[in-house]
Amino acid sequence: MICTVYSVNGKILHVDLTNNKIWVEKYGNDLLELFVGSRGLQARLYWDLVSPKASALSNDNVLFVGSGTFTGTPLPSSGRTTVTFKSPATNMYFKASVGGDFGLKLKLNGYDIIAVHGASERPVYVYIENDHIDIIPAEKYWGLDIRTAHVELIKRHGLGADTLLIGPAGEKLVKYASINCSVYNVAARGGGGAVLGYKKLKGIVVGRGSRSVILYNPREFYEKSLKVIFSIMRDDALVATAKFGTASATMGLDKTSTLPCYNFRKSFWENAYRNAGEYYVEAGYLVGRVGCAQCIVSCHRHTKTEKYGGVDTVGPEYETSNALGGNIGNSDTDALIKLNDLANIYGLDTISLGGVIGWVMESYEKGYLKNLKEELGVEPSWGNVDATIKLIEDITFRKGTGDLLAEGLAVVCNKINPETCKWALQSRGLEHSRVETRIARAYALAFALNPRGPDHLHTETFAEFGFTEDAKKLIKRLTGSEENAGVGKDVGRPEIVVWHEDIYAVTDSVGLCAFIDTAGFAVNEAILSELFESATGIKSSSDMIMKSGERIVTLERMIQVREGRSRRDDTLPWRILNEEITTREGKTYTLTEATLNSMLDRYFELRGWDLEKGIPTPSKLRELKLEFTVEEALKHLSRP
Amino acid sequence: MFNLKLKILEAPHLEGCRRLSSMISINPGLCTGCHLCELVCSTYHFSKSSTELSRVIVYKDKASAKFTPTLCVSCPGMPCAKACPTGAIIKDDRTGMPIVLVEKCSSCGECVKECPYNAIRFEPSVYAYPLICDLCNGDPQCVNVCWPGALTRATTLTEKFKGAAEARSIIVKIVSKYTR
Amino acid sequence: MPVIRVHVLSDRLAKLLGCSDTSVSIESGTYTINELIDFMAHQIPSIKVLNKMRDTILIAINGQVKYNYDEKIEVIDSIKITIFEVGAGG
Repeated sequence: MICTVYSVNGKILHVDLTNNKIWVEKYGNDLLELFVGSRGLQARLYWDLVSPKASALSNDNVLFVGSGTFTGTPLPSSGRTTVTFKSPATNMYFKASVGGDFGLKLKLNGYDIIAVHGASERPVYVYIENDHIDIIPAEKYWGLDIRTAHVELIKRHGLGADTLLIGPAGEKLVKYASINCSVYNVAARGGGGAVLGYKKLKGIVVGRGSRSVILYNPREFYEKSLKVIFSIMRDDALVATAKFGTASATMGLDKTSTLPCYNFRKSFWENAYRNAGEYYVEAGYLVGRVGCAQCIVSCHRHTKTEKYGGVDTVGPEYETSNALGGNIGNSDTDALIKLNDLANIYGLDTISLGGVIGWVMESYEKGYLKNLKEELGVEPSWGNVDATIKLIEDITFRKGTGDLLAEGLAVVCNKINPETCKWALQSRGLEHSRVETRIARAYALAFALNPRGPDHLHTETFAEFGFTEDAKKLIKRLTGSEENAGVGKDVGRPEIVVWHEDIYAVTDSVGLCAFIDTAGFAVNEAILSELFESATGIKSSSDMIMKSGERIVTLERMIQVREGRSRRDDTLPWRILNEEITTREGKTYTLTEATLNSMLDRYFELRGWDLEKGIPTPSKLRELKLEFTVEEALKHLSRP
Repeated sequence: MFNLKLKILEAPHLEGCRRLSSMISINPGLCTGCHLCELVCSTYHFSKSSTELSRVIVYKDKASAKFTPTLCVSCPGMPCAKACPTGAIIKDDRTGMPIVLVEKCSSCGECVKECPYNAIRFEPSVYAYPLICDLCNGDPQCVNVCWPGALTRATTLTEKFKGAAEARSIIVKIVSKYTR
Repeated sequence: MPVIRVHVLSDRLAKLLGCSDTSVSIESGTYTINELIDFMAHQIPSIKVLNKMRDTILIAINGQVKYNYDEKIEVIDSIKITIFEVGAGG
């Protein structure tokens, strides 16, 4: 049999839950060359299948889960899986990323991507084993927390199987409900869990597949993979991350006063070490490490505590360590582990959760939400763990004020009092990630432009900090001088963001973890293009692969333009643009709209997009072979 | 396989003895469940990549974050060979590891039942014959890629068997937890 | 005489600095953190390179992370200095 595609199956599995239909769609090298892999392909599919008029919680939404082009190959850290859907939080295209083994196993069963259409009337789950696909009643799993549901499903389907699941929060359509793979790996943001909850899909189970990944040039790819493995083992940032986890970023952020605490009122604090990865190791919370599929860095934490009834879980990552740590004034590490476990098993995004709870605490301090004291049985004051636990329960099960909080900050602040929106750290429906963007300005620009919302997982401009020699070298390469490394600076930020957006799109699409080439630097675009060519047989180069990255980013922008987005949406939460922040050394920073606008101007110029509306021009779209989006662009460009 | 014939002739081995450092020790506590050992093993042997085609097997209880690899540690007495009704398993004198003679194998699975370390991979839906570690002819690939250190070059025979026994007890617990 | 106990928290740093745990005696008195670093680099030959790395490492004294190296530390009893670096996160 002659393979027409290498490194991928060339197959998309479609499941229609409304009509109980299942079919397989094939694709070839022409699409792979243009869109690289999961994220790119899924964006292309989304353009065709999800109407701009479709409501996120309706039968018209389609949710895609896909493994990367390098997933299932011997390349390390390439098991990342992309989840694409219309978000009920932002009402727009949303891409989430997740580790674990689900994507790997889906691929070994013969499918690169699964697309879930429509909705079931009763709770179901999908079972996949090679050519056998079943839609199975899930009544007895509905309501179970993710950990319990996983155990029950593996008992049923065997140890060779793996799960993708939603928890009670997804079932209750919480707007920041997550989708979890292999229990503790989380496609957290954007409310993907609610999308599946609406579809009454408890999850997807993949069995032991009998396919393999066939590479175009296996010998060459294998040798290149070994080189990457050795690069990873020698990379400064990745060595620290392996031992101390992603929360090893905490003290660096504290040092540079970019660690958001007390709902972004402070950007450093004396208890930061209690939220640091080094502390988890030193104080004995860490009992093991966990890796995503194929990843030798294995930065996930297996932690335990005797307190809070005894907790044995995976986490906390950096974002969680801050969102449910310093952000809410919590320096109790045992509590942090408990809070993380609750988010894990209920299926909640910890960044949005922390953002909501931080807003609650600040609002309460300012005299709002007085009813909460009676509802929770305790005051939601800063650092109050009992209140936080109760809030998490109420949000998950939509009890009392929790029902409103489950809608996310964009909705709730307006419902309570528009004045409270001043400290609602959200924009376009998504809560802001855990870095002080008034000071870290590459992050600020990236956050303003990110299709997801004010969030780091589209660029991860960690190099901006200049914590390592490699980071400084990259900043020099992108902006002309190492002097531009370090936060609090404006120079070169648009150049930094453009490069990161492009390489990140490629990285996601091949299934590689972004930490390998944006936070650590074991891989660059040259190596990515060599690997792509070895794996798929498709001719590539640094320029070509970055062009594909640009293509994906531009397509995602056009998808959102079609959904109603333009430059006026490229903004940041009110507090970030209107309040100043003071560093430990007493220096004050303000990020004004004027500064943001001037960075946006330069960004659109670099991109070749229309400056006024922030929309890609027809000539740029044609250059990127995105002709099918030109009509839409013209429609919006011609409007006043 | 990558120039395997060439490697057999080149592999440095002592006449009548085996290099201990070619052998593999398992350290279950360090396994992070990443599966890279499996993907590397299958690619090296088959030129195609799948966790299911690997001679090293990773067992995982994802709900408890408990993982361990297991692979053949070449027990003296070779119970797998003794169990084989067709004489399809023999010892490779250079490495001390069992070899499955595919032309004699009847895919009955008896060897799998006898292995004290759950170290024989046998998934008929994926590959018709049992897969047993062969130390990659002296340069075990899985060890090269295991940064967490769950698979290392053995320094003593005792350590090798101890690690495998520890892996086995973890596997027994995982299997029983997930059995109805 | 008080003792500075030095603990290097990262394997990579330990390799660069040539040790993971060491100690050196110091006279009681008040020192800035910069002076303590100078002292350690001078007295412990294997961690001479600490001098050049001041900007990229993090230092904790008796469990408290310190960023201002001009801060004065009173050394009466023994103190523990932990050296570590920033990992990737976000």
